[in-house]
Amino acid sequence: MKKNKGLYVHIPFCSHICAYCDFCKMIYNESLCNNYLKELEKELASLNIKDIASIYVGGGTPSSLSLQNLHLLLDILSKYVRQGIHYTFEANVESLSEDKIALLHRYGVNRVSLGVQSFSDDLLKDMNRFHNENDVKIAIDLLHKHHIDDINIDLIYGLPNQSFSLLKNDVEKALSLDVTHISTYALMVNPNTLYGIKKVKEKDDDVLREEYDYICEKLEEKGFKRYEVSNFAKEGFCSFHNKLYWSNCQYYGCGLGASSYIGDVRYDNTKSLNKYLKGEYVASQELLSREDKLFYELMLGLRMSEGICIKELNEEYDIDFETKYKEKIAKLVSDNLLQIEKGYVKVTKSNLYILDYIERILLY
Amino acid sequence: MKYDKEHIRNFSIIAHIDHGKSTLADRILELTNTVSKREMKDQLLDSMDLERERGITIKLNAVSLNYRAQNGEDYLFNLIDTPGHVDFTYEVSRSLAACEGALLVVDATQGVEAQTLANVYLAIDNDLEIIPVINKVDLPSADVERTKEEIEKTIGLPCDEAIGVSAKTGLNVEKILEEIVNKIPCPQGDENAPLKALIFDSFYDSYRGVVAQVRIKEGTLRVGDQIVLMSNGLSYQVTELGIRNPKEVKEDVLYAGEVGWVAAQIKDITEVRPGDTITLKNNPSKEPLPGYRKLNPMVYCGLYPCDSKKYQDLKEALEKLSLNDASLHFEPETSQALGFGFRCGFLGLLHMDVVQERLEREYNIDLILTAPSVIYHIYLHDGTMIELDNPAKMPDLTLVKEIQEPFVEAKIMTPKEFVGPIMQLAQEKRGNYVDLVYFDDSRMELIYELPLSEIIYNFFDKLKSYSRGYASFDYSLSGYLPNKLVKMDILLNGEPIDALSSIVFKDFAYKRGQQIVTKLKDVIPRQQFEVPVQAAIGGKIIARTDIKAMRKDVLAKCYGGDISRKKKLLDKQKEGKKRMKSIGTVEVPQEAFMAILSVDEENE
Repeated sequence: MKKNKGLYVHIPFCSHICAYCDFCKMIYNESLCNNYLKELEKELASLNIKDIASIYVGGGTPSSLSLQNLHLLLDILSKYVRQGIHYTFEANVESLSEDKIALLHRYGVNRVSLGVQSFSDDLLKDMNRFHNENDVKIAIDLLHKHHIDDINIDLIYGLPNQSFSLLKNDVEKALSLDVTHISTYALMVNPNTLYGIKKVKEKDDDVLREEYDYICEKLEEKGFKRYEVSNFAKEGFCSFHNKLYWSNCQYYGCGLGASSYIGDVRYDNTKSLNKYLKGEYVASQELLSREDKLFYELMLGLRMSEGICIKELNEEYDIDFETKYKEKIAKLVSDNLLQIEKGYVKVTKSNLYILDYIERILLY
Repeated sequence: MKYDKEHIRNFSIIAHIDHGKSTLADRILELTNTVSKREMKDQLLDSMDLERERGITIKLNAVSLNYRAQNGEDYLFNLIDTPGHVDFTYEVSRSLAACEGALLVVDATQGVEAQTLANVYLAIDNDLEIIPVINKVDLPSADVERTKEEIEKTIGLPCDEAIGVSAKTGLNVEKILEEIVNKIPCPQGDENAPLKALIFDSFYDSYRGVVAQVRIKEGTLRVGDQIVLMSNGLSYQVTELGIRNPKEVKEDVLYAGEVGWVAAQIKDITEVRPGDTITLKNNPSKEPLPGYRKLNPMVYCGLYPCDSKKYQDLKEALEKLSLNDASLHFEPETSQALGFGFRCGFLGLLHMDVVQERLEREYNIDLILTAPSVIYHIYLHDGTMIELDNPAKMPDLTLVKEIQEPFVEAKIMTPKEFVGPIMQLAQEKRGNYVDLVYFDDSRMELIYELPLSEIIYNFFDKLKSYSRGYASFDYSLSGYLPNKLVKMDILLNGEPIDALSSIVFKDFAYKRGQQIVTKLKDVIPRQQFEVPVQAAIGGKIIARTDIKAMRKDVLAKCYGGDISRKKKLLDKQKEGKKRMKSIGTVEVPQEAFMAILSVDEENE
């Protein structure tokens, strides 16, 4: 895993803006997008990208591109595609036409992540999204028709007006679909979003926990194993690309607002389209010491249910993990928060939802 | 250059916070060329960072200025600055006693505020000539006529000739200087009489020892004189004299009527008390100047470093602060819950606040403060009496015969219409009515005997809200009275936490207990397990809430772009934890220890 590198490509365009969205995005415009893609090509070329094990095209809404621009994008990326690559494309249900699906498949995309969020028309409308349950079914059928069988759907819980019965309905509908992977996120209300401006309140921790536990239980029942805080997959279908992040692997991030981790540096790209189009890609960077890398490695690795392989950790950082963190491990183990099992250190099953609490104890 | 008394004016500026006192002082310093534009930085008299930031004056300053009046004659102005809060009322009264006049500065956009009134009355008590100044007339929302009317009505000061100024732009500030010359009387006093010098402030200087700021009321003081401090009889030889303009200028002599500073190799600032009289050893005055009062701490609290390794640093910091602060008392104490720290005595809550902030800011020590307490007198059956400044140290109840608590005589000044609500407040605070005095048709003074503990427990804030900010008050200790008092313990996870104990009036205990446990539940973050919070009296639980177990503490999304943000978030959360103290398995934030004070009765 460690030697694998990823490439993330950000497409900051959307046909409409969702109420909760905190990502770097803007309303789609054909010529602006065309300029953007040309700049993206330059940025990609400026980086010495090779031996990529995974490509992830995210957004924004990458599927909002016109067929023409989509073609251009896939062409640009084609030089990084090789045999056996993991190639994920994010899409919205309503903009994913059959033409686009066929095109994606032709260019080697083998996984699609669909922004479903909910199956309730009211909740979707509230989120400023414009598809319905049937659209989802059609999109998934089309994907299968074109042999893209590795499909993720994103769900949101903790939405305002999302009663427990609506949540149950969302989970049941999700489980009735032919997908391999489900990501489910508690709503976060960020200040510069529609929800933030409307001062929507996040649900109480007790309620969120109840909803989360319910989701975990139902998904696991149907063979979706929780392998990370918010991610569930059928056997063999964990998101390869996202596991790169949690395994603290290196990745290139191209496009507006994208982040990279290359060598000893974490970079954040600018979120200003003007700057980006002028070729001023990087906005800030953080130089990492060995200690910093170890911090990130633990912070990220503990998000995964399988935890972190202690032997690999010790070899990579030339430490003895269990000595270095002796007292903290002892406390966390005695509180039943952390466990060490078969050479792996991991958060106990029922406590993944208080991961940050555990990490503040372990890492400081 | 020596000025005859006719050409000296000693005055002070009375103003509410933010009404422009320090800005006006700055303009006066500029106009009299005391400070050049180049040297000018905003609010020159407020030399502590904390003073500039909070816009309040904590330490007094006095500056001497030269002014050539329109009549062509040269005058010496001594501007004596005053602090502006009830904790420091006594200091204010002593610095006003050093003056013959005062500028009353009122913000034309705000009108007369309660705190101003208290100080105006102090000035009237000291027979000062008061010159009304309406400030901020340049602002669009200024209402000069209404402000004048208000001053006339609330203070009874004629305002026909009140000067409208803008301290910010300098408009009409020169007129004030002329008024000072024409209206404020020159100082009296016989240069040949036995020396009476009023100490109105002091500070510690590592080279010269304590430097006292004085106003010579009678007689003459020279370098080399043997002086006596009349309150304690201690004797010293004067090593240096001088004035400040505002830089120190050494002089050989100070005459009756003048304001200056005296150094006499005095080591301990507690010996040099504001209000005390300096006289000469070989030609002493028969009696001291009136008004001296020994200031004792009124409230005590425990001060503990969040990080127990900082105990020694805290000790050194307190020692340094007390060099310059005679009112700050401290001695070591130990708490089971908080470890090693100090029990500190303060003049009042603002004083406590200021000390805390200086310790945290200037000495970089994160602190836990326990709720402030007064000194209780505990009479035991065996006839002994214990002075208790820490509720946790209350002896076993079976040994206690009686508990007495300190009472103060509170003088509350208020416009007539708020008398009713204020009486109601005083009743709620267990006050005994003493008197109601009519000052004029609009102003009254209510006198109550009140338990000091009720005063430190949000009385001031309540008084302001009951009187829409117009009432002001002053208090002095009147004595000790027995009362139905009990010690209330707070238990976290079943364990009593000594630092959260308090002494409460028995009839209020249930209500107070419920308020405190509710407040604690709100301020203590969720822990891994559910934690019961209980209030108990003598082993009997009277109130309970539970801090719920933590259910969610995770960033749901963590992908490429979120990773460094997540680390920063963890760093920030961890920084917040530094100000928490682990008590057993419970992490308790600083505010919890003040919960006893901050419970809000309105939101029950």
